[in-house]
Amino acid sequence: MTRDIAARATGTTLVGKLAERATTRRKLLGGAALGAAGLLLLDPRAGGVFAQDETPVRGGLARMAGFGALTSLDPYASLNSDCDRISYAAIYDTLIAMELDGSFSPQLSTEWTVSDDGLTYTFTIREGVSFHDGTPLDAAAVVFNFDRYRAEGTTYPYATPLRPITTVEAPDATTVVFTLANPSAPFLAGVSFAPIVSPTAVEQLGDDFQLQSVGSGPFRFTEWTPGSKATFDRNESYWLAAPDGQPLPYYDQLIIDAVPDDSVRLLNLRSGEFEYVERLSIRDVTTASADTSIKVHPTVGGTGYCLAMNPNQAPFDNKVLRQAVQAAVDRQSIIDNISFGEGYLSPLGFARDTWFYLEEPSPVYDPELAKQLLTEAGYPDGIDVSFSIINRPVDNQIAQIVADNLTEVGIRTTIDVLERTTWVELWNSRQGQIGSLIAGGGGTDPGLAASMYDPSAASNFAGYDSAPIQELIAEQDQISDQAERLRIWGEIGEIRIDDAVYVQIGIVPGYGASIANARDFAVHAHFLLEFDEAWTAE
Amino acid sequence: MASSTHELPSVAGVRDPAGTPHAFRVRLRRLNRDLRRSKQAIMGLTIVGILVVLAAAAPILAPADPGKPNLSESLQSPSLSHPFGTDELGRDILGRIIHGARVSLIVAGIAVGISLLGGVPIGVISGYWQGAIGSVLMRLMDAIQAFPGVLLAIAIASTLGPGITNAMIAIGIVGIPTFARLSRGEVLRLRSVEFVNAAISTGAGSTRVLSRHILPNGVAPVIVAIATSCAGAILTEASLSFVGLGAAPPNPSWGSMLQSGYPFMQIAPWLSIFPGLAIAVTTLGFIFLGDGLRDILDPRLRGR
Amino acid sequence: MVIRRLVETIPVLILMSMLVFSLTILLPGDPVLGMLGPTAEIDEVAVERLRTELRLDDPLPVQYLAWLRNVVQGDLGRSISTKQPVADALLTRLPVTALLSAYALTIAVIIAVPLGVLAAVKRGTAWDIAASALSVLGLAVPGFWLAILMIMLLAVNLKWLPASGYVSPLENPLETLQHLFMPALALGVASAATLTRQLRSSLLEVLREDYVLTARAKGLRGQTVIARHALRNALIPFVTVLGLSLGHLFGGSLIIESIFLVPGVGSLLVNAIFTRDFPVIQAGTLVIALVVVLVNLGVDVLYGFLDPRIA
Repeated sequence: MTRDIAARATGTTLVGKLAERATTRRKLLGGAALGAAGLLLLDPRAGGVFAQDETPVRGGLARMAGFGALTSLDPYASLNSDCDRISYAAIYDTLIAMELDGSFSPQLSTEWTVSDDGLTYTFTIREGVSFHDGTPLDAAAVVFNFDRYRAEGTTYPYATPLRPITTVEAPDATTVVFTLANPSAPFLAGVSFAPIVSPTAVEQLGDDFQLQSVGSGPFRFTEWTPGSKATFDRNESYWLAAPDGQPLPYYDQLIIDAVPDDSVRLLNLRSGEFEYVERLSIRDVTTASADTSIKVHPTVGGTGYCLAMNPNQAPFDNKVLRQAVQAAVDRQSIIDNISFGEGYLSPLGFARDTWFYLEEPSPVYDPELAKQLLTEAGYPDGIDVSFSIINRPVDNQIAQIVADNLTEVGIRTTIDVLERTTWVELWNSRQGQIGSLIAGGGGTDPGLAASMYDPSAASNFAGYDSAPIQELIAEQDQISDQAERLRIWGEIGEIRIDDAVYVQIGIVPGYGASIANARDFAVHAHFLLEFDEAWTAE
Repeated sequence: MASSTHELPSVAGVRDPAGTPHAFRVRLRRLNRDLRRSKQAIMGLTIVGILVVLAAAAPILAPADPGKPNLSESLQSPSLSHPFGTDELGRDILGRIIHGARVSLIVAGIAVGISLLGGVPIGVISGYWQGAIGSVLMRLMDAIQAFPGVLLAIAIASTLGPGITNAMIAIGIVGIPTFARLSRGEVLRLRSVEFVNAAISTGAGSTRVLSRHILPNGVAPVIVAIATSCAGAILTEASLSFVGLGAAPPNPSWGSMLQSGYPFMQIAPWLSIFPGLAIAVTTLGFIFLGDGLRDILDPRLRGR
Repeated sequence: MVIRRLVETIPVLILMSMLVFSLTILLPGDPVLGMLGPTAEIDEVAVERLRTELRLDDPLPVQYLAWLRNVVQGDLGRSISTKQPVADALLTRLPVTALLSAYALTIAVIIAVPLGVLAAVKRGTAWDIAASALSVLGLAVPGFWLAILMIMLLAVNLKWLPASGYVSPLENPLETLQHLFMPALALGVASAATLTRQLRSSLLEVLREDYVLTARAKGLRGQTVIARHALRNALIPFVTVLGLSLGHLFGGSLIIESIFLVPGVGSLLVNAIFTRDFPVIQAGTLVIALVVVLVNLGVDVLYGFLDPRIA
């Protein structure tokens, strides 16, 4: 027997209720209905515009500035998926789309079912869709894509949630069947991340597919010089239609550029260089909100900052020493300082406006306890440690405050500022001692945080290997009841605090901005913007 | 062997035979008098002097630990209690600038020292014993000098790793060709001068010729170059720190203060203004000093 | 003579290429790890294959010669981060830096000529002191600090100019000039200072020359004297310093390009150095050095033509 879950899951939270609406695909009116509750609707900074009374204007140019330059047009080879996703959302489609409350809506797949034992997922593929190069988008194309993403030695950054898949098959042109080795809650999220690219193009272009690509999305690749902006033109034959019957999107052209510096990015928006920017620096949110020519929108999730200690080598292979550090760090002060009071604590690194945000359990801040633990760890006269960071402004601030906290309790800290590549190598080779990194703040599915506890995952820089946590994560992956999953995450939190390998400092909420006349762009978890239905008013 | 009291005729470009102790004292007295006459030199000396005092007396003038965060007072604009304001971690900027003077002086001193110790021998060898080695060495100097200074400094500092020591080495290496060229030029000029020829023809060994005749007379442009190189070293250190290759936090180097102040430029411009001012004034001081010294020491350039 | 000079630069070029090559060899960071990323830890075969392909296990001189051979044939390798052929990247970015440098130099000349002439002609007066003071200030002020101040004033406060970015002159030359004004000014100030000082001192030297005194004695008016004789001769060293400045501006624009997000060779190199993108570092540094050497060579030759007294 199969359960039909084509309809949206009923949200059990306020978020879910706000997100329910009759749309055929994920669509959130710009700025409205984001995150926890109507508070945001009243918040002038949400800048939401309810566009139901206005008629969308067709045509025009949308220029978007992200924080990092596009690394590759091929999702398989993306080196910085956070940046590249925006381009992928424009030129590719996925089978399903994820709503903020964790439910899914149809995209390339019109409906899907899951077997009772949770091991077989059957997706029905929308008919009549083609890639920009004319190749028909059928079940075989979907199979090609997923086989590629989960292949041995894959470089696809979101391969983890696809791991439980044993086979992907296309019994006919409009049906794709996934068979899993075990039930997995994050699996659908993983499917919702996977852009579907044209198999013909991949085969023909080979390596060059990274430099020029073919998808089926609302925009079509036109040109891109690496290190410079990417230009995408409207896909005249997009499969999704606007209310007026003509195909979406409204914009003629989408240009995606990168301005690494937060403040300069905002400046450029205000001076008319762009229509949309992502990731405002928290410093600038107040000034930006006061400017009536632009509007600021919050996103779910934000940037998480975390301390890491290397448990694989001395001195931090000593658990009590790690606990001493955890007790010595004044996380609240740090997060307040770097976020101008806007940030919040989050021991597990989950974003506040999600169903899985947990405030407890939380480590205590107690310098006296830290000193005791230090002595207990075997360092009554203190110890010298090296704190390595990547050369970024916020990391610099964090490092100096943490160094001060630690030195106060007898852990004398020197700060090493490294370039990203060097830092990554230092930690990947398990030579780091203590450091700071960006981790956490995501708002999609808690199961996706698993990589932090998996020693073979590239992003687990400390090499944290906790078998109990991995077991618990595997357990909650197979459960769909959110309350039960939360309970398990509470247990994971206890273990994490006891191990004190990763100490989450907190999360700085994310904001994006656009010109005041922008309409109907979709803002998703973790800064993602989508332009399928966006347009600019006169 | 030249008699120690024998006065040789003055030759173009060389006012006195420096090989005599008496002549040396005379030069010193003249230097003193000239120094007082050049306004630029005085100004330069004053500025550099103030810098040295600030650096030495930093713990007295700014007793608060310049690295210690004081989060409750972060990003305050200039006021009576904080004349230059506070930075993003609440630290007094004036205090950090005073402590930063130490960093600047030490970096300038050691970097220029490296350039000097590396460049002068190379120049002297290549100028005096003009052989294949000398030629190759000068080609190497050409090669190094062909790279724009900041680029080379960043590349070397990046190779060696971040940190203030490596920054000093990088800046030092970049400055070697300047001193090499200069010393070579002086050696070439002086070795063909009459009294030197005389000395050589009477059998004086190279060391004697070099140390008694050439070096003392050729030292003037080198001294000027030391001053100007200090100016360049401070600017280059600022550039290196600005991109994260200089002094590690919380060490208050002026360049790294500019680096951390840059993101706050819209809401707290004072973070960016004062450290830059400090760099500019200091560099100014060294340039004045260099110009002034050149006016005094190099008579060919008199009247400019 | 030109041929001789050209030949003389070859050993220097070779030495420079060796320097560049050795620098990147010394850079910490395994290029294979950089290229393969996390796969490097799993896939031994891929690592070995890449090592052989890149000849990383060959002795250094062999590696160097192989690299040199490629360079001469125009193959500058592929960037590790963007996978784009380095030659392509350089080809697109060189003109931008060239444009910026030319712009900077133009601004420098516009500032330096009046200032330098003023200082020389009014020597010893308040004008001279003011002009000289300004030129020293131009040398002392860090260019990137000036850039930050300008952004604060002109872009944030007054909103007269865009804070960053680049528009190709083929698209909209006016916007190009707008976008590049601040970086060009920040770059040009130091050159302006050097040029002013140079012009002043060479003008002074020329003004005392005998033939000028003779011309004055013959009764020619002061201004004519300056214009016809002094300036023309003082321009020779001025032009040479100008040429040399161009060479140094070209590579010295690193930080300014990064601040203003100008897609030139400077910002490419800064990024490459920090991300250990060896092929880009090697090729980029070499190209910049080549440009500088060629410009210096050109200046030498020009000097030879302009000044008949030099053989």
